Amino acid sequence: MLGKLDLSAFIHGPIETVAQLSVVFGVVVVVGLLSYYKAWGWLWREYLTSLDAKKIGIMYIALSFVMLARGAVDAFMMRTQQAIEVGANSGFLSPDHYAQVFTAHGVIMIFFVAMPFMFGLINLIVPLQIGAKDVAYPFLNSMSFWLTVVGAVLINLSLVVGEFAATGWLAYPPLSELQFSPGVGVDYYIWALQIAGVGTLISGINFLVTITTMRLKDMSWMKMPIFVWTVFGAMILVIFAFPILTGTLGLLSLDRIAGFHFFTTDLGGSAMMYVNLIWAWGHPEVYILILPAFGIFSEIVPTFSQKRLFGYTSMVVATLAIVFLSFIVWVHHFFTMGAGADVNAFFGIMTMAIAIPTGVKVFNWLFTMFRGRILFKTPMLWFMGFLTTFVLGGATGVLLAVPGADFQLHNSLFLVAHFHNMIIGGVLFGFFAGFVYWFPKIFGFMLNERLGVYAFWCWIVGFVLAFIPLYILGLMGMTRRLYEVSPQFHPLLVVAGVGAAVIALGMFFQVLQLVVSIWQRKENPAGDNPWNGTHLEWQTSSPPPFDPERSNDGVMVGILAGLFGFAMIWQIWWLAVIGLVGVLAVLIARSFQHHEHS
Amino acid sequence: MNTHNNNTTFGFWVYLMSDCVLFAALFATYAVLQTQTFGGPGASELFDLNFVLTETLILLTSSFTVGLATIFSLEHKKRATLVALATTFILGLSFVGMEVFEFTHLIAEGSGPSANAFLSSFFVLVGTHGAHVTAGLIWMFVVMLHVMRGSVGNKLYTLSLFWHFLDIVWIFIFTFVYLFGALAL
Amino acid sequence: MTIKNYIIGFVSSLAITSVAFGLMFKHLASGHVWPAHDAMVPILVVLALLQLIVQLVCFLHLNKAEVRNWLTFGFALFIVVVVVGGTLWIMNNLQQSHAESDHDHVTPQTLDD
Repeated sequence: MLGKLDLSAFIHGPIETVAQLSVVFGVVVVVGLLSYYKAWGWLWREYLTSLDAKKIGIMYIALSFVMLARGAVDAFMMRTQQAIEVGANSGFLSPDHYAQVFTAHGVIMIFFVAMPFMFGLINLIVPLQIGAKDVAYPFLNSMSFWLTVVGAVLINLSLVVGEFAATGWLAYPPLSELQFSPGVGVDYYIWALQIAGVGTLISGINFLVTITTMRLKDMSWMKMPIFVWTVFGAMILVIFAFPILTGTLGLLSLDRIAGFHFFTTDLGGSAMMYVNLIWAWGHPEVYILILPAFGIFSEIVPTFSQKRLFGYTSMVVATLAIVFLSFIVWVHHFFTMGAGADVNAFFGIMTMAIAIPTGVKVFNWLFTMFRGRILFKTPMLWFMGFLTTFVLGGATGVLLAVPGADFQLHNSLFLVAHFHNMIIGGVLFGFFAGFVYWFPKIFGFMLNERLGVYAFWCWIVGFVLAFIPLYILGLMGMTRRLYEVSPQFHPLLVVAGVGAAVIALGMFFQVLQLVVSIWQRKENPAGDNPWNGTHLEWQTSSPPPFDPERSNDGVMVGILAGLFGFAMIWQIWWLAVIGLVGVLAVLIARSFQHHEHS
Repeated sequence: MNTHNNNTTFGFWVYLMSDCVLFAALFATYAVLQTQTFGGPGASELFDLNFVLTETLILLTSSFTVGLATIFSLEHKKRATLVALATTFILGLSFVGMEVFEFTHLIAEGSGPSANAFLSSFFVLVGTHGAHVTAGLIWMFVVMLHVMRGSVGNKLYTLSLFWHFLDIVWIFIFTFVYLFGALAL
Repeated sequence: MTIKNYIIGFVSSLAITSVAFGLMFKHLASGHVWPAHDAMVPILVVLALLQLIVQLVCFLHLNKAEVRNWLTFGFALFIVVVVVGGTLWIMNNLQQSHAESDHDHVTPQTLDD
């Protein structure tokens, strides 16, 4: 009746129980507060069922902040474990729990922090920048958001019921096969990503069509703001990369549920095929995240340098070059798997080639700043932080693109430091910059500048402390995901732990900044154009007019898809059928109503 | 067609192109794993070309009839549209039925999807196509209701795009899976 | 979008399909002699591509589609070629290298290590 689900799924070890109870506690507090302030109706009408892209954007960003807190707690647990694990002290986490923590950290940060943060900013700004009232398919937009929420809910649910994958963030087989991961952890992983992935794909199509067909009449392609261009590029990548993820995870789940042999160790399965396929999606995914961040900086740098962007055409060409090249570099994630020199050399060279358009962008920003009257407001500070860390990450990336060097550094902390350079220093700093930059437009009041500056300095200092030691440790030979560490690595791990604490302080300042700014919102009105931006979004009021259009169907689809996902994880087949048929029924019923929006 | 309809068609076209990549991943998987029979029978021993030819002709004809349906619908011939759609539906259903028959037959012979990697990849590639056809049938049923109510809009046109697309995918399945399989490559 | 288009598309698709299957039956009936095995592969590929073009033009009306549909189609084609071609190249290469390194394992030199 309930598949694999029974009471034992709720019983965990002591540390896991703390996590379990904090999730339950968090939900109870939120529900309690909403009920106490009688805010349910308001929330339902104004946000949850809204079809307005800006409202959906705000919800995306709220989701990503919640998940950022969760992912950061995972990071702090890992840093603490490695910092205190010395001599007789084996740390505070069990090995299996530690493996779940680093898996959850990676999955959450990529799929449920970076992706929703990106889609949040896109929803907020792209329609405004191209002068469109909304996106091409407002209902699908709402549905995409709710499917993303379902993924995030499933991941957090794994803390309460059952467990999460202990396989690393890409769940390589054969470890992720049923034989070696018999629990439901990998199934949580698969279905959270599958459901959120469908939402992402639909969003990708939605924004591609929006940008292609809904621009103001006189905004030709070469008059689009660079942010719109980079989003356009990222959406192309979403559309053509995410089906590969869906397919690959589908094959893995067939292996696990139905005893197929795609990636198993026996009967002809090939685990290497999984690695190949998942990175054919995985590399474009990296550029899906970074391209919009490039676009954000291309908005911020001219505004705060008080000049026009240098080299608009080259920015566009570079963006499109990245879109093409990002599909032909994926082997650099597995040089060590043993392909011949020709394959490795080709993909190594392509990887180095992709640094060229990226370099073009960096130089364009620098030339934009050159002889500008630069205002060092928080968005610009984030850009300066990005520039330094991202160029360092890019340089180490080109280093890793050399197969010979990669053989030495593969799976070491050097790699971990490299991609955190790209994803924190590149993606996250970019999105923070965009958040600070566009916040006044969406909410109509300014964010507290002083606290923003504090937050920035904590982040950048913490980042250097936390990740530069990892480069050194990697070169010393320390591999990633280690539970027990040899003593000579210990001092630098303590430094990295301190760095994590400084980042935590930065996050505290960000929360404080939000609270204080909301508190003092009357004193700090934004006006329509607080930064003297030149693009269309600054021509409208702050906050811009919201569209009252709403629909309950998005939430309905989300709930039913969530039931379906949960049922698939626990193999409760009747519930899975109900969920799937329910989703279909909602969509079919919708087609019979008269709509202005599809 | 107004702009809104054009948007829908373009968005659907983009979805189809994205679906191409899903099939590309499955074709690639099949291509890599097709030799991994692990001692079991290979494609040349398992598949019956006459059967596949029949399936192909059925699907091809259905692609033609769905095209007729869109034309009749543009000419506002409600009855003819419904007849063409019903024909398409029956053809599609027969195709799925044949595929189910083939699958159950293979499983009964002990050549089910969990027998080896070759069969896993065969079942998933062909089965994914079959699942798309099945989804298309459900959708076709809904579109027929819309035709009866006179609220079809461009729903029939997007459905026909989907159906033609599935026919094109099938060209590559019968070529690379069945015909190449019979060549015993 | 006329009925003529669909009839042309349908008839030529039927023709191409029958040629492909017909040649295949000939090939099998002759005991893999005529048409020769090596000739069958390019023939089948060309016929499949031909039928693809016929259906794209006659059924999906790509010749009259807007530029943006063409561009998405072109990019999809690029990705399909990259994913399928790249995967085959990489995986075959891996299998060869692994076969070679398996061979290395039995040499006494590695065993001494």
